[in-house]
Amino acid sequence: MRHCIELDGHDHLIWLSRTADGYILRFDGGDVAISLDNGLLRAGDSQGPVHIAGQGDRLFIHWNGESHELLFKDAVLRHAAGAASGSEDTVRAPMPGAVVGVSSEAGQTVMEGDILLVIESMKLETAIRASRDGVVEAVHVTLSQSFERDAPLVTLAPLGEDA
Amino acid sequence: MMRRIHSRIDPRDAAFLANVEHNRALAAELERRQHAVRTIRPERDLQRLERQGKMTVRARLEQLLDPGTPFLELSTLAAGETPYAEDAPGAGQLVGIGIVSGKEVVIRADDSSVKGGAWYPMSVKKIVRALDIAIENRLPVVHMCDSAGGFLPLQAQFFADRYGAGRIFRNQSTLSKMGVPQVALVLGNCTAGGAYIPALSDYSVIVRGTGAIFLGGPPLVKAATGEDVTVDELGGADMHTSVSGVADYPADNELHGIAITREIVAQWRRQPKAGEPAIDPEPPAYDPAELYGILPADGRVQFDMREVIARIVDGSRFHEYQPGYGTTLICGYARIWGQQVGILANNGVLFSDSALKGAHFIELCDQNRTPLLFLQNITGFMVGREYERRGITKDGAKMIMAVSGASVPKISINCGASFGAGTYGMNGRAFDPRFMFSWPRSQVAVMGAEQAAGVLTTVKIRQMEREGGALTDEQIAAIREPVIAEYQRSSSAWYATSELWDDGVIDPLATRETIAIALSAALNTPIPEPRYGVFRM
Repeated sequence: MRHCIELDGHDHLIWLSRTADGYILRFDGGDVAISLDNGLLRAGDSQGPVHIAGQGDRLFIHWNGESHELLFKDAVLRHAAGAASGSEDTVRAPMPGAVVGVSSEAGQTVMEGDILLVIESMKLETAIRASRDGVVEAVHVTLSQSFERDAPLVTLAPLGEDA
Repeated sequence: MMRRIHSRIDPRDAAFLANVEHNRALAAELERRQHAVRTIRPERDLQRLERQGKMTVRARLEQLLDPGTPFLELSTLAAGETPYAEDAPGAGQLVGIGIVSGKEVVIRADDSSVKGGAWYPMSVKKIVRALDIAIENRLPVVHMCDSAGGFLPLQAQFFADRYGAGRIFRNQSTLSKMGVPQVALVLGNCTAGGAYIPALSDYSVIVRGTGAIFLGGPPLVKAATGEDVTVDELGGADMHTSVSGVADYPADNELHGIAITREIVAQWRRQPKAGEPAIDPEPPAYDPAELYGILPADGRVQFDMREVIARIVDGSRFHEYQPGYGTTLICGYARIWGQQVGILANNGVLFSDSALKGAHFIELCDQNRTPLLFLQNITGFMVGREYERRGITKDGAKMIMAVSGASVPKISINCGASFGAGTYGMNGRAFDPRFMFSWPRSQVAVMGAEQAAGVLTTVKIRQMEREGGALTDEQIAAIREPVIAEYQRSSSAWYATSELWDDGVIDPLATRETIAIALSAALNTPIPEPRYGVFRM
């Protein structure tokens, strides 16, 4: 599977192959011989000094008088179904226990990571957090109610097409 | 390239800030205790060392090490909770892994600043452990000897047992047999049993004037035979290096002795490392300092171990194995300073599925020759009729069988709780982790303090009720509180490290570097083929 990079806002599928005398960059536009030597980047017939700066996962590349922004896109994330729509709507109990704190109610808007409930199990308190941004559709348990493992605790309203 | 963990922490959250304050205070307490053990000595003891022309053990260490290289000190706070803590700071021993003449070595040094460096029970345990580390990880050893010998009044606690003082010499012999070299630098007296440390080292250096080796010192000789003899005649540097052959190289002073020792270490061969070679390291994408805000001030509050992993591993990148199954045990691959590790981390109590997942993942790592890292925060296995009927005990047994049988190096960190059978499944001290460290907030015990106090006080309360009728709440509390206090003391990280149940208490922020040094040391030993006992199906 080729790597996906986003270059100046457009996705490209690329692969770097080693050959006897250097590398070939295979991309959607064809193959091009490529080499990097002492800060000098050669790609096909063009060559010139290259400057690269990184910020997080983003690279800023200056080459032959032009600036480019490059982002490596993780293949697993890119191909996951529902990668764009977030995770499941219903938060379930990771272990049997009892509710010791309720900090959400139906209709409330929550951000990913917000605490929805606090449960206690085997003498330990665990915060149940929102798995994504959304609106609480229903809280299925009340304070001091006990529940089994995998019991639904909180359901977030499904994300609409336009959400 | 693996994905980064996506952190859900809000550093402006009130709970986060309260945690920061709590954990900073714990780290400061660790720092205070370490500082006292390392540097604070009575003025008159320091003056005595100076009169004798001796350096402190820390000054000797500094001269021995390659400048600017990392040094991982082990069991700094050993003996800290014993009745003799004042007389044996750090159990009177300095032990660690460092770089001498470009070689990774174990350094073990007597600290003669207090009580002449006498060996107390925990001193012997710390020395034996240092040499066990050398054996398990095939690390050469540099001994810096300066000890008055065993502390006689407590001899029953450190002499005759299997892991008593004799084990030091058995371990030295084992190292030599394995072809792992040792050098002893004699900087003070090596009397009685202590005399065998240089004698059993492959190389030994002795300093003129202060260094001496003998089975019985001058007073003992006088008492036994009436013979009057000076220290130098009886066991000094020149006698041993020119007449008896007990030591190899005479040195004119301590620095000369250290220079000769460094030259000896420089001659030793370097072993190739086991396992997959490390790749270029990458710092975590999330600031490790945020660990202070993540670890709850209240020990009963659970936290997401992914947040911890994200602040320990390279690039915060984590390939999670079975992300949807047995979710109370997180398993997956990551890299620490470029070295691949398989991580098992607790995210709640262990169920059958989490235990099965753990056992399976351990076998995967073993087949792949991937060292294992256990991040413990475990109150135990789930209890209850339904779980027993589904055989939680045999699934726990599978995990324990896998932990015991794995032939790759295993490292454990107690991040919070390590209780009961959870300690076993998560590679507790008894399962021979190559290295085991504790965070200051951690506890280790058969069960939590509240439950244990309940069990311990119920019997007492019943008995008193039989004799004197019903007890008031105040009377029950008066029975209960001291039991809880003592239980909490003896399950604390300070107590665990005092007893050498670990190899040291570390600041959570030092975890990544500590693991990196431990992994590098562990990979000196070739990894045997995987082989396991019978898994109860």
